[in-house]
Formats: sequence, C-alpha cells, structure tokens
Amino acid sequence: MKYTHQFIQLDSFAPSFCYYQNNNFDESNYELIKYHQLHEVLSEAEQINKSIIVIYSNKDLPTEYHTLLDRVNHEKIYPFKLIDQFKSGILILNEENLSQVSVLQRDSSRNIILRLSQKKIDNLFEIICSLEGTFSKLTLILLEIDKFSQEEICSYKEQLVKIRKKIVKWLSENKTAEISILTDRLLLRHMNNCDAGIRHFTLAPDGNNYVCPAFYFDKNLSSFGLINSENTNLRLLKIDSSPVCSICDAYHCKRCVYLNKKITEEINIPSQEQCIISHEERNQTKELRADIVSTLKNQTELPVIPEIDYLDPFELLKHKKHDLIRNSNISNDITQELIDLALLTDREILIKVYEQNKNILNFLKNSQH
Amino acid sequence: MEIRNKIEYPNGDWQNGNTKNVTFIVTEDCQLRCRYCYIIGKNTKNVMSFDIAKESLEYLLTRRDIFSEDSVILDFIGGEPLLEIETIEKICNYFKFRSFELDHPWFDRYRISLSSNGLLYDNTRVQKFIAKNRNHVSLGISIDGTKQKHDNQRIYPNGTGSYDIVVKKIPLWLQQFPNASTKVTISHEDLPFVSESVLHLCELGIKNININCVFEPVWKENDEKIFEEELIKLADSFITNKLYQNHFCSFFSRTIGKPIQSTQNWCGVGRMLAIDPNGNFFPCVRFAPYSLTNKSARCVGNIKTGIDKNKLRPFLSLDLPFQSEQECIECEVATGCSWCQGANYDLSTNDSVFYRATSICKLHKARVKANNYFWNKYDRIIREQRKSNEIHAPIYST
Repeated sequence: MKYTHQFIQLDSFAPSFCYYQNNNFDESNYELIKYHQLHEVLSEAEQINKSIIVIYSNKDLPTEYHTLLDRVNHEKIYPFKLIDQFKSGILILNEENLSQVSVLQRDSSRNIILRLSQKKIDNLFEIICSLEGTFSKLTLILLEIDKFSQEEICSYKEQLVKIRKKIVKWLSENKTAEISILTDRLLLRHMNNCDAGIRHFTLAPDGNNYVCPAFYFDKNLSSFGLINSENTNLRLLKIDSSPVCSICDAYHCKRCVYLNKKITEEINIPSQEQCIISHEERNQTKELRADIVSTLKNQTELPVIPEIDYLDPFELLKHKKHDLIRNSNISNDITQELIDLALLTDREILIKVYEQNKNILNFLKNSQH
Repeated sequence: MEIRNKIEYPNGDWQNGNTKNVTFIVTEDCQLRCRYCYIIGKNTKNVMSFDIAKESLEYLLTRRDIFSEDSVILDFIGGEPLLEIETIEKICNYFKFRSFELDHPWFDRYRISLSSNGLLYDNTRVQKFIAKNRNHVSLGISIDGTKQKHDNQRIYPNGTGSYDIVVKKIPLWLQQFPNASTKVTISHEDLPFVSESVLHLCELGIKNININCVFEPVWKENDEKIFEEELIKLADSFITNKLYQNHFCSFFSRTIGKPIQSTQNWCGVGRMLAIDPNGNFFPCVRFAPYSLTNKSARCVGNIKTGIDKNKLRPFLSLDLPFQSEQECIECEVATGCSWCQGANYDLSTNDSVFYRATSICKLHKARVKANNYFWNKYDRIIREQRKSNEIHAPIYST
C-alpha cells in the first residue's frame, strides 16, 4: 500500500468536504493541530513527494502556521467564507451558501465541492445551472444517502437526465462541463474511488492519523479508522476485500468506507442506496457517452459502458451471478489488451462485439491461452 | 439387495426447497451452566412474551415480499426452550391459525424444531405439546456421551453433572423420535473421551450423532494428536461393529478433506432470522447480546421497524474467500473445515464478520487423516463383502 497523498486537517472547526458531518463548533472543544506535528508531516510529505492537501476552517490560524504552510506547495480545501482569501483550491459549497453564489466570480479553474441533502434534490439542475462559469470541476456530495427514499432516488434520476443534456449543450459551446456524477465515469476503465486509507490518510488535530476526517469526528467509529498496524480493518479497505464492490463497474463511485461502516456496520459493504445512486449516475453517464461520442475525433478514448440489468450489484451476489459479472467487468481491459496485441485496426469491431455481448471477448481471451 | 449404509446417506429429503429458518429465543435462562456454552449472558429476566411472538409472526406472515420462502422452520431456542413450553405452544397455535387465515403457503409447510438439554422432556406439558404436533415437530436433546464426558461440561450452577437425569429421558425420546439426532460438543478437556462417548451414544440407541469442536481458542499443543488417536479408535469400532450400517457420526464424511469446492458461506447466517425476547432481529442467535463475549450485538431490525436491509447486507455478502486468509483458501484439505459466523465475529480482531477464526485448524487436519483412514478401511470391507457376495452394495466413490 503506497500513500501518494497526505491530508491535513488543521483544526476541529474544519468544515466537512465530504459525506461526514462536523457540527461541533463549540469554542471550548476547539482543537488545533500542534505546530511541531504540522511541521513534521509537511517535511515528511515533501521528502517523499506526497501531494499535500490541507483543510482550512473559518477560524484564524496563528501566524507561524501560515508562515509554515506558505513554504510548501499544497492544495487547499476551504469553506465559503474564505473565497476572498484563497485564489485557488477547492471550495466547499453547502446548502446555506447557495443564496450567496452570485458573489462567486467567473473562474474556469475553480474546483467546487457541492454538498446537498435530499431536500435539495428537486433543485439540483437549477443549482448547477446557477453555478455555470464558476468552476472547472464540480463534485457533488449527496448527504445522508441512507435516508433517500425510492421517490427521491427517482427525482435524482430525473435531475441527472436534465444535467446530462446541459453538459452536452455546454460541450457543444466549448464550455467547461466537468461534473463528477456524470463525467468521472466517462474515462474510467477501473475503480477510481475515494481510496481513503489506501492512497491517502488524514492527520487530524488530535495528532492521530485517520483513514479520513470522518473517523476523527465520529468518536463512536474512530478506532475503526485509525491508521496503525493494530487496525486490521485496514485490510478490508481494498477493493478486493469487498464482495459487492469487486463485482461493480460504477467505477466513479466514491465508495465511502466511513458511510459503509456507519450504515451497514462493515467497512467493506456499501449501503443499498449508495449502490443504486451510483448506478443511476453510471447509467446516465452511459447515455452521455452516446450523446457525445460521435463528436470526438478519437472515439475509443471513451471506454464502452455496457448495458446492465441491475442497479445494485448486491443483487448479483444474492442470485449468485457474481462470477459472470466479475469476469465481464474486466472486459474493458481485455478489449484494450486484445487491441494492443493483435487487432489494432479492428478496434471498432471489437467494441461492437463487446456492446452485443460482454462475455465474448473474455471467452476469446481465455481460448487463446 | 442394495445396502444404503447410514454413514453415507445421513439426510432425508425434506428441506430440499427454499426454507426460512426463524429462531424464537423464548428465554435466556437455562437450568444448566455448561462450561463450553457460548451463551454467556444467561438470565431469568429476558423471557419472550406471547405479544412479542405474535407481533413477530404477524410481520413474518404478512411480509411475503421479504419472506418469500416456500416453507418455514419455527425454531425454538434458549437458554432452555422447554422452560417456556406454554409460550411455545401458544406461538405454534397462533402460527397455524394465522397462516390458515391468511391462506399462507407456510400453513402446511412448516416444521417445529427445538434444541433442548432434555431435563424437562417427560414433563406433561412438553409431552402434550409433542403429541399435538407429532407430524411437525423435531426435538433434539444434547447428550455428550459417557457420564464422565457429559458431566465434565454439562453441569448445574452448583457444579453437579446432569447426565443421570438426562440419560433417563433418552428411551422415551428415542421411542417418540427414533431417528432423532444429538449434538455433541467437544472442548479441550473432553478429547480423551471422544471415542468411548460416541460409542456410548450408539449403545443408547442414538442413530444420528452430530459433533463439533468448540470454535473458541481453548485448544492446546498436541490436542490434535489425541483427537486423531481417538478418531482412529472410533473408526475401528465403527467398522468392526458395523455401526456404519445404522449410525451416522458427523466425524466421518466422504466430502471432507479436499481443496475448496464451493466458496459459499458455511452457515445460513442472514438467511435465517433470530428474534429475541424484546422483539429484536438478529442474523442468527449467535449475534444476539447474550451470545457475545467480546463484541456488541448485531441487530438487523425489530418487530416495529422491520428488517434493516442495510444491516443485513454484510451477512448475505459473506462467502469463504472474503472472510478467510489465503492459507485457508489454498488449504489442500479445506472442505469440512467449519466455522461459526458468530464465533468469527466474536473473536475477530477488527469487529467485523469478514474474519475467520482458525482455532480448530489442527483439529480439522487430524480429523481429515482419521476420516481418510475410516473410508479406506470401509471401502476395503465393502469390496471384500461384495466379492464374497455377502452384499451387493455399490462401492460409492467420492
């Protein structure tokens, strides 16, 4: 396991940038990372060339902290109140900030994390339209996904259709159109999840290293997210350790291990809602690919997203179809391998074959051995 | 004449279909304090009321969308379930009445199963219940073998053994359930008595003997050697006395001791449902609070809010590769090496069900060796008998 990124949460007021909640802004419980720990982790990360991501809060930092941080290259994640302070980085946009988005200047390089609850689902398209021109990439985080009802998931799907059409329009106008829930899966051939605890971990204000900040804030689950040699839960973080995720091809899914633990009590098992929402996104991405593929010079840059008849891979486990699916999910790779090996000029034919039957290429590859 | 020796064909045909196993924890109390018992939280306080049971049945019978199985086993467990025979009778009566009223497929497709220590077996209420449900009830009595072996473990709170009382109930039990099976549990101290205990149970007339070693890490160095010697002795006796013709002992099976053939989970955890006296649901009785020594209970819903599908997902996702270390997956003699999901969880170092406790590894390997010895000898005997036309039994290959 090689950690390539180092997250640093400077204090306990640092806002959530993901699925977890931080509701503790009580001054008496305020915790600031110790200076020497910050110094140590920055030096170490720099030495081994790890990317550093620092989560800032609204609270003023002591000057020496700023001086120290200014000396190292790092990505900033910051709350809405600090938009004037930071010219680059990742802006966290919560529901309570939506009434103020008009103050956001047009910026085609800004990254935004938009955190919304199910109450705002019906307005999702509208909200994204209101942010047009203010971001290069918009990452959507749906809060409390385990509370999503069937109706709310249907509404979300309707919103996805509208956003998809908007993306097609933006692309035709050469505008920025990167929205995580619909564009992340477009280029993926493998799982590309959050990877907390696998590729990165977080140094928290209490001086401990956690899989992610969620485990620092949720005291009931803290021990499951501690990065140390005694925590045998860490082996369950890998995709191969999850019976559900290892047969899934919603490659863009955040696969939040904190939510897994919180909702299903197992760090490697996602909730039903997580799976269904990710598959609705995956399926709309498939439609988006169909919408835009003809406009591309090199169409094979966008991997084929096969037709599937389920929204929750767990159903495959229940019906014991997982071996079949596990094989078919590597079809993208197989396609690529065969193309590279021998059939370079027949790429299109292979893709057509794959679209018709996911298993044929697998069968062909196996029969070569 | 074709001989179908019981050792090779232990099972009947029932339950070939799709069956829901529902366990009612009618009480958490028991007259005994068996040393190896995993139920560490025995108490007199938690007893299932009929109202809770009724509400549970209402949920089970009216949610066909969730409980779509063809048939059901109403399993009653404790503690000692016979302490609550009146409630059990009421539950069964209500089940029959309500499933008839609802025209539910389970009305004529159900079994009633009880696991008992046998102490109350000849009690009038118990006998009345058995007579009333004669065609539907199965009742297992746990008797561990010889007096010495049984009283080693199955003791009253004051430390005295229960053998002398239980053994008196066996004739009536076998008269009413001639094919009944007993469940024998073996812990470290019991190893020297394994062979004589199984033979003793055969002498008592018990034809089906299911045995397992406890999954907890109680085992000591060289235990596997004693175990193997005992099983070889048992194998010799089974063959010399032709006990294999009419007896089944789970130690000897054609299917054990081979590389993994199926990756399925060992047990039906998650597919079955255990209901505690408070109306809480668990994926099996081993995940209820009174069964766990080191971990918190894993509740998957209750009679008010129903099944929590997300809490159930991990249990239904379990299979062998995802909970086993590579050594177990690649083991040359993996088949038949059992595990208890509750013990796995209770002993896990990560508070997860995706863990495999391997305390019985060496014992399983010893069992495989003795098992191979048994079948080699058995096949030789059968072959010789066939040659001499003593019988016309087919030689059953694995």
